[in-house]
Amino acid sequence: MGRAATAVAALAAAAIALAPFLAGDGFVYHVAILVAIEGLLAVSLHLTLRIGQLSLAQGGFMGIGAYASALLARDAGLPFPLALVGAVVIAAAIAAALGTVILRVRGVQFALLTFGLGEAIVLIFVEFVVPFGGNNGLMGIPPASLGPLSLQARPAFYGFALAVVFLVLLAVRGLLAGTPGMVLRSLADNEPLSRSLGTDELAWRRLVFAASAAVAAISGSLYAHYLGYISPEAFNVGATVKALIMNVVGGVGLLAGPLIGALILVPLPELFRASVRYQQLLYGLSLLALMLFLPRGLGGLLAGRSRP
Amino acid sequence: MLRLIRHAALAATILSAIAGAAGARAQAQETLKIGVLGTLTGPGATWGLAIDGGARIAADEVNAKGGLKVGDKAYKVEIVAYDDQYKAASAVTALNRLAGPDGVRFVLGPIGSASLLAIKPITERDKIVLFTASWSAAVLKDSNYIFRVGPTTQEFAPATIAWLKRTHPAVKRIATVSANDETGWNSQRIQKEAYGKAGLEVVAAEHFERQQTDFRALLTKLLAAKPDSIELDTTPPPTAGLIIRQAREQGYKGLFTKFGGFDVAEIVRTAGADYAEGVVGISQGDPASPEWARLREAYAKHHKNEMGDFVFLFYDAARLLFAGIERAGTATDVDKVVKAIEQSAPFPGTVGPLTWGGKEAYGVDHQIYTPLYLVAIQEGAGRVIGKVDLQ
Amino acid sequence: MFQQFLVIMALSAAIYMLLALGFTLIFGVMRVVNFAHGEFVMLGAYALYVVQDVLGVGYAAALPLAALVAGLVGVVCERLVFRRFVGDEIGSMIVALALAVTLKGAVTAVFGTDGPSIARPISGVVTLGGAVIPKDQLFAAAVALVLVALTHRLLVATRLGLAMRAVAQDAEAARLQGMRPWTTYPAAFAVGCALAGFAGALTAPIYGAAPDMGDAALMKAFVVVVLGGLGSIPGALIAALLLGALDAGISILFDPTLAALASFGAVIAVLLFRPSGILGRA
Repeated sequence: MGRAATAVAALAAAAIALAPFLAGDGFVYHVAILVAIEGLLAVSLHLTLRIGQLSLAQGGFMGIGAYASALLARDAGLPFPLALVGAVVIAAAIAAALGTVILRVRGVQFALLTFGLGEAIVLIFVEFVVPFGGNNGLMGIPPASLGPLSLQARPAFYGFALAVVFLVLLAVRGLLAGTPGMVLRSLADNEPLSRSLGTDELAWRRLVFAASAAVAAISGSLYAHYLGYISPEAFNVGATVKALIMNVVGGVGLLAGPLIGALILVPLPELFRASVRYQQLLYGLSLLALMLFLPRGLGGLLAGRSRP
Repeated sequence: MLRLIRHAALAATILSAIAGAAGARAQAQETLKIGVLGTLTGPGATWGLAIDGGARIAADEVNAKGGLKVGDKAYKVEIVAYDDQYKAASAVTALNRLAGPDGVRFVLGPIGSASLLAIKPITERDKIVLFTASWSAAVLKDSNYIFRVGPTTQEFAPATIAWLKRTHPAVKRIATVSANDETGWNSQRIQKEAYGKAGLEVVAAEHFERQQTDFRALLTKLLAAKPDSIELDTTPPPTAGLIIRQAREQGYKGLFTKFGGFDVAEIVRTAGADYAEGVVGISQGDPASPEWARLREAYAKHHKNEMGDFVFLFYDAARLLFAGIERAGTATDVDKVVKAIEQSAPFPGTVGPLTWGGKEAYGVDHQIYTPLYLVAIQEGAGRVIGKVDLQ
Repeated sequence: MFQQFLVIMALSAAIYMLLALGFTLIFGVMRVVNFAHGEFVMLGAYALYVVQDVLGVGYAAALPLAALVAGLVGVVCERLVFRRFVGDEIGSMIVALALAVTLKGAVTAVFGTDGPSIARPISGVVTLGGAVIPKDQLFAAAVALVLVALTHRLLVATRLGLAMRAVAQDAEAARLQGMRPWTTYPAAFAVGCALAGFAGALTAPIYGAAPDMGDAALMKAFVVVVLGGLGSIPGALIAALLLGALDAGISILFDPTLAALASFGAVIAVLLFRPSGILGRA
């Protein structure tokens, strides 16, 4: 993209991000918050796609973040920012530990492995009623606040979520542009060569995988403290699949792709809400049409042919 | 070129749809929107469609009479129904949409406990009135704007178990089966307590997952305890039918009771008329009565499935709400409407008077007591065999 | 109780074999992880409903017709959707997920969300050494085993089967030998989806049908296929027995959630330590 195009894109992004403040409607804020939360999950999945491994366990990591944050804030009495950080550390640590073993598996086997892992994480929430509350989930999760500043009102929470998305994007861009990104690209270009130069590529992939779990956990923590209620089925493989579809719709080659996808897919069911009976069919058909006719996603369309 | 047209068409569709959603906010002056929030798809759909059907029948009636008279205005009632897919997060989104763009202040539903508990903080804060049939004990606690439209296990279990003891003196050993979630835990706990108090032994208590259809392993365990009667509790009726069939096939000869959400048509459909013979449950109406026939005919105009007894609950709840709004003389001052509803007891329900209670158990008199029948399945149809006396 | 455990295990295992067979066949031949497999099971169940209960055809004829419907839909999907994603394992997986949503939505739009009322052609039980076996479940298991045997014959004793196995081993080499993948692919999809349709049509009278019934079916097929090794038919048969035992045993002793947890644990362990499945060479 040229410099002018970049500027236009940045302006458009800013306009979309600020639009809910202009609309000022409670429901628009609600949908915008869900776009931010689900968009973060899509970004987390995007990171795993960047290491060439489709992880279907990201919904599970979002669940780990949500449950950890909820339990830390509600039962351990930690303030929201600390609960959020705690949830991120826990999810990232679990991913790093698992990554040592599971990242050795590649390709479709990795997708299936993480499919099993994602289902297993949710079943753990269902089976162990103490402390996770079983199918009933956890309720009475304290609303988010930053010190004395309450984030309970929707506009305030949206502002916070927006800031978080922005910071996460900066961090992810840094990660992909920095050493790990370079290592990963050289691996993609010439794996034997970079191996012979002694790069410990598994360690780098593990770092990116842990980062992806951390982003998923942020998404989970925001979800828990926004809704005040969580239950296991919100984090099953279906949630990951939705995030995956966001990446496909938005374009997997672009960092903005998952967010573009979230921006389209989160409000989409709302458009079909009046026709309950046909809602799923219309949704499915739109997805199939997008995949068949726009295989590089809408993001790919906007970016032109400059990136593969 | 073709590509371009495709893209343009796609963008246009999305844009026009968004514009449509925004335009929906501009509404006609003389219309009052009433929300329905229920499970309209999937396994819990029978109950969700009952909310919707009951609300629409009541709305049709009031509209046929020239609308709702509030002060010197007459409102046409419009039902706006959204699906919560039995999921808490979907319920929150649907409620936000009802309360926001649709401007709804009064909602019938939901039934799922998870859905209700998830939206409760918002409805209490934003003063939205809910008429729910969710059975969790936590529903009415610390709430001002929630009414429960019918009796729950808490209210009827002592009476139904007393009936069982009186009519089936040989029954000593009870097994109970319930769903593995808030609704099932809560009702099973109350049933176990009530059976124990009545001097009957609960020899097995099992939980199943809502999407489960294969109960052979669960029943192997349950039947090993040699129960005389199996209490199906709040199990969704289609699931209850599968359990009945599979238990009979594994050689169970005893009684089945379903004291909690009965639906003869659904149970007969999944169990088969032979296996369903003799199953006892509770019902909000008498399937042989003229009231049932009248509602059934009205219900068929809106939904294709066979009407269940929950339609009585929500038809009466909607009429109660309309009466409350007319009596309060306002459709916007929610506190006044709630007060007017509280003061309208006893309200003439379809099969008998509705009264209020619940202060002792829940701290607020928002539990509605309705007449309740005992129904047995005979040759594939429900026959009333008694009436439950609630206090 | 132990006799009952054996009965449940054996009856389940036969159905699991049938569920997994089509899934693993499609993967073996096309390298497509068909996440819409459960929806073809569901299509079979609904097709049985339409043929048997709406059109009034007898069960014996309705059963193969239902499977045929699922197979035909499979061919159409292969042609319109999956063929564009050949060689793209991840891409085909994603498009299968979208197809699953669409098929579920289509059935919901036509039939509504309530399960249809499906007549039961077989009833009654047989008692065997202290265990009770419902006749309809016995019939379903027996037909499933016959279908497994027939599929095996198809693969080893026919030209089409030979072509499928050749393409599964090396698509490029098979093409050079004059075997056209553009006919083997639809054939594999037809057989795989018809097998799924049979599974749906066999179990629908027993457990009923609903638009979301495919989710549970997919989970079972997935676990069996991974445990047995992707694309391996003998592996799938052994794994189906294993899953039958695991499911019945843990469900009787504890609860079905723990059984599901254990089966996913086994899936993870197999993929980590024996990715070619329990029969494969690690």
